[in-house]
Amino acid sequence: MRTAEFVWNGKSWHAGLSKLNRADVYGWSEVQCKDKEGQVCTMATLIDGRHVLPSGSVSMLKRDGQGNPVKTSDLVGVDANGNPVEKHPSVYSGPIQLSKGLLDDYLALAVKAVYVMQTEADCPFQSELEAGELFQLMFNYREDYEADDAFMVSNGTEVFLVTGQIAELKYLAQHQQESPVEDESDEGTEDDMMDFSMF
Amino acid sequence: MVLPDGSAPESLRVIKGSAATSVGALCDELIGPVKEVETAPELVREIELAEHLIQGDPEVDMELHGKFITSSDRVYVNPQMRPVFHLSEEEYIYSATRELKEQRTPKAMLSNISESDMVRWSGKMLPKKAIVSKVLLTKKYQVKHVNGLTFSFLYDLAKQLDENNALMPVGTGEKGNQPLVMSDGGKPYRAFLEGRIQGDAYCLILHLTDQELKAPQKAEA
Repeated sequence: MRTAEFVWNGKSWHAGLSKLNRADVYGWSEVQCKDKEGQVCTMATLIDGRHVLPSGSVSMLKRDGQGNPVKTSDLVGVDANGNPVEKHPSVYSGPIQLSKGLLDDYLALAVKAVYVMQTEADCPFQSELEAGELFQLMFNYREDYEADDAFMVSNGTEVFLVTGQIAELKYLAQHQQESPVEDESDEGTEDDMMDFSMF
Repeated sequence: MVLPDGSAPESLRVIKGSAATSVGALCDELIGPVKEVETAPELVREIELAEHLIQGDPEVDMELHGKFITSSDRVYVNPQMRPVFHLSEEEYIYSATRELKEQRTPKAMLSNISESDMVRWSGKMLPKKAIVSKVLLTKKYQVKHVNGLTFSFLYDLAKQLDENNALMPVGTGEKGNQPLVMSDGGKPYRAFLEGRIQGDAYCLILHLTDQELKAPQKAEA
């Protein structure tokens, strides 16, 4: 298995990343739609009311101002001011420096993906993780212009990498009043007046 | 991301093919439908289709293929690519080992957080570290006040949670132990409240989870 190298406090750990899907732990359900003959039906796209396009019939295309097709690899990343930005390296491209993570930042993480860290060697940070410490890093599975926040966390036996974006939390004071909840009883009157179905 | 000259590219959806030009439809048209007694694998039919296309050299549909799509509709189709308007739904439930456990009519879960269904707090203060090592808090909602009265209520709640550095389980139902369903047709989630205080301001977060922090069981050899 391909491994990434994680470094903290002079200690290095090579571990593979296996994506954790809820279905692999708890199972899953799927809904099938069937017609009158019992045949399984699928969704398709309908164009101009007559052309049926099954899945895989449509692709995305980028073009410039003159209508010429453009490859994604020809595009460059820029920030809000239009200045070029460099790509963040992949987690597999070299040693990743860990730092101590804050519990409050981890709780503010909008989770995108979770990976189970797999290795045959013992984790040199196991004692810290079992004590409830969190390690933080910038994570990109592939090289990209934006990197995700990630935390290394343990449940006592296994080590996980939880990735996502740390949300900026808004603290609310009393004067920052939310829009009052609309009284639903008032809506009916206007609806009755504009109800064209009565005609 | 922009072009090297600084201008922004335009993204478009383009048609590559249609139901009439899909591999299955072309196989049926040029080779014939699969007979029940036939055991020829799909790859053999596709190789035969490739020979037909090379020999026949048909033209693409110049009006449809390569057309940019601005608006479209979604429709259910049967295996013959004909739109279907009368459907029945069946739900299949599989275990983590991919075995079919149950087959049933789908049950739609209704939201249980409206005014008539009260979300109850358990009163239990659980240490944050203990919770984060056990469950994955995947979704978050911020609870906000709508007037001065609700501000006082939520501020006090957040202050209690902040002072205890704890999360509090919340639930619905008579005993307050049922998972939350945020919208009709949504999934059930277990929920925890977290409070933070900054002077006279508060931040109250509702964390939702439907998954423990654990790896799948490895299949026995």
